[in-house]
Amino acid sequence: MALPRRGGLFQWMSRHYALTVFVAVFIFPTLLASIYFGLVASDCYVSETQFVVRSAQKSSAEGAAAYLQDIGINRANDDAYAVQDYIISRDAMHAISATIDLRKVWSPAGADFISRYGAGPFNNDNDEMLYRHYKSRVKVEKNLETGITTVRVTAYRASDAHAVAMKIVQLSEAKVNAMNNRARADRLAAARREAASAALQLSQANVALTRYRDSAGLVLPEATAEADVRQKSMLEAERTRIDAELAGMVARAPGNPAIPALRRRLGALNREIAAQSAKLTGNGDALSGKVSGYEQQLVERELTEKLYEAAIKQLDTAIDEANRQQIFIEQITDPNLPDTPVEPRRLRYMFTVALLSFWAFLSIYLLLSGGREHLNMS
Amino acid sequence: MSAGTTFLQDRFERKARTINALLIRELMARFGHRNIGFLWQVLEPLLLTLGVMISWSTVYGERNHGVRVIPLVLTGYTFITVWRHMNSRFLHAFRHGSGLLFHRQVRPADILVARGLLESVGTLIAFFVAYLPLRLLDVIEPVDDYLLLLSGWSLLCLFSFGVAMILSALAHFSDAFERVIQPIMYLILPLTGAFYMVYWLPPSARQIVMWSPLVNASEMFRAGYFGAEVPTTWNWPYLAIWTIAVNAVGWLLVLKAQRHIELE
Repeated sequence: MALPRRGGLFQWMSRHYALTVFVAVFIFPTLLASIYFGLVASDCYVSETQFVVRSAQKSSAEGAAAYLQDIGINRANDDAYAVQDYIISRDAMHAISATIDLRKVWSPAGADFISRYGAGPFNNDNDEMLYRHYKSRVKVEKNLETGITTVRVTAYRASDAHAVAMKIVQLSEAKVNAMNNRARADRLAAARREAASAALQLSQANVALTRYRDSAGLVLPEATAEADVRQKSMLEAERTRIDAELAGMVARAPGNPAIPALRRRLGALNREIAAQSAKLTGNGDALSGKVSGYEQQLVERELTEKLYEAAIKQLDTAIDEANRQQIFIEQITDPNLPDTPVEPRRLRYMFTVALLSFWAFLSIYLLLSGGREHLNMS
Repeated sequence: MSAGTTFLQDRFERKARTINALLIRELMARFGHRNIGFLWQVLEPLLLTLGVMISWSTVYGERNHGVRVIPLVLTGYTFITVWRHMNSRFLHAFRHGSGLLFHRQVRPADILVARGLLESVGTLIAFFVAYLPLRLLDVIEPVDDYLLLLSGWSLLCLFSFGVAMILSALAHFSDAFERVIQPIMYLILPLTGAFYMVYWLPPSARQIVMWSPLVNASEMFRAGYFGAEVPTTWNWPYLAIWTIAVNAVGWLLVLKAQRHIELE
């Protein structure tokens, strides 16, 4: 073997590599774990609380389907994830720190030097380190099947664990309320904006109508037109009557002195009728044009009225929905005040290390044997 | 007293040496000295797992029924690999290993133990070879509970070992059995639980699949991986009783087959 001579130990280890690996990978870690979990590790208390995030949702379905769905209170999945993420956030940690000194909670006097906060030579005391520690001490788990979220807080004193868990419950509730208010305000603001713009349109339409009337010099163009038409037909009737009278007179007594007078009257009537017609239907300033313009304005106003009504209705439903569509936290179990430390689970962790290191030993042994055989080293 | 101890110690040491030698011989016989040699033992299942991981990820996206797809495939294929490999490797163990029986110390059962160890350890290495880089790249979540994971794994390996022993002995006695066992193994794949989580099934189906010890093992293995995030059900005493039972039957059958071979 072309290995450098480094005393007998290296050669001995190479020759007895199975034993060496066994001791280094299995015996040594298992022994260390046994000493730590058996003798050194401090007791920890765990306070646990469970809740469900629910939302009362108004269904958009109508009729019987709505009746069936309307009572449904659904689990709000996304919101539950939001709450879960909030609990494990720097925000939440800072909010807890405002009333509870987390540094003291996780590094009290007498806590063992491995698990406590700030242990080890490279751990500086800053918020980022505290946050890392926080994540290891506060565990949030959401069950996929039931939707129940479980929060576990670990601390060296039962009262501390309980206090932090209580605070977390409070904060989650405050967060959910804030989310509700925000969503509500957003929804209402949008509906109000819509209603305000509809109202503005309506008043603009009204103003436009009035202005049109003013410019046309008419209060009610239709009524004016009707009166004008009636007058015109009266004039036409008069003309027909005079026309007939004149024709009769000319036939019976052509020398009647009343004839020229009648003729003058007929001429005047014709002029009056022509003027009246021009007023009603002629081009330029005629009344028919004014009426059609006026009707257009009327339709526009009606349209904006409808829009306004719809916007007001929407605002009503938005207020209604905002009151109903809220998420809320339903507490299933309140944080408990533990009377026995359950962490660390000493035997369990020892077994974990033993089993893990045993499989690690088998794996490394196999790789080493294979490698040595591959290199013809046995 | 001391003579007895040394005798036992001596026997144990000899047995360990035999099995160790068989293990290495098995490695070399299967993969040879060329190119990366015995690392194929790890690379084979790794390639399969990675391939399926990629295809499932494209089919299902990040999650399937709320469970992350990549760890699901990783656990499922690691699981299925050890079960299928052990069974198929043991099937011809007696015939392939008959040459070894000229050595006085080598008994057929030793070959099985060596092969079983090789499969169990090799596949677990493959699991971690896939797991570590994915974990370092933060693609997957860390293992939640190694005790559950490895207990499930150990029980699975022992159970597969027992079943594989029964199969190898039966295959030795009956050629017909050897023919039909491959399709049967294929058909009972759904009963391994490697491709689904029990909680996806309707309650009536859950009760049925929970009779399968392999489903118990796979749920346990996954419970160790996912933790409380994913609902799992298993019954480890039930699985342990199965494991003891198949190993007892397996040993009896293998001993019988062994005598049969030695008489020939």
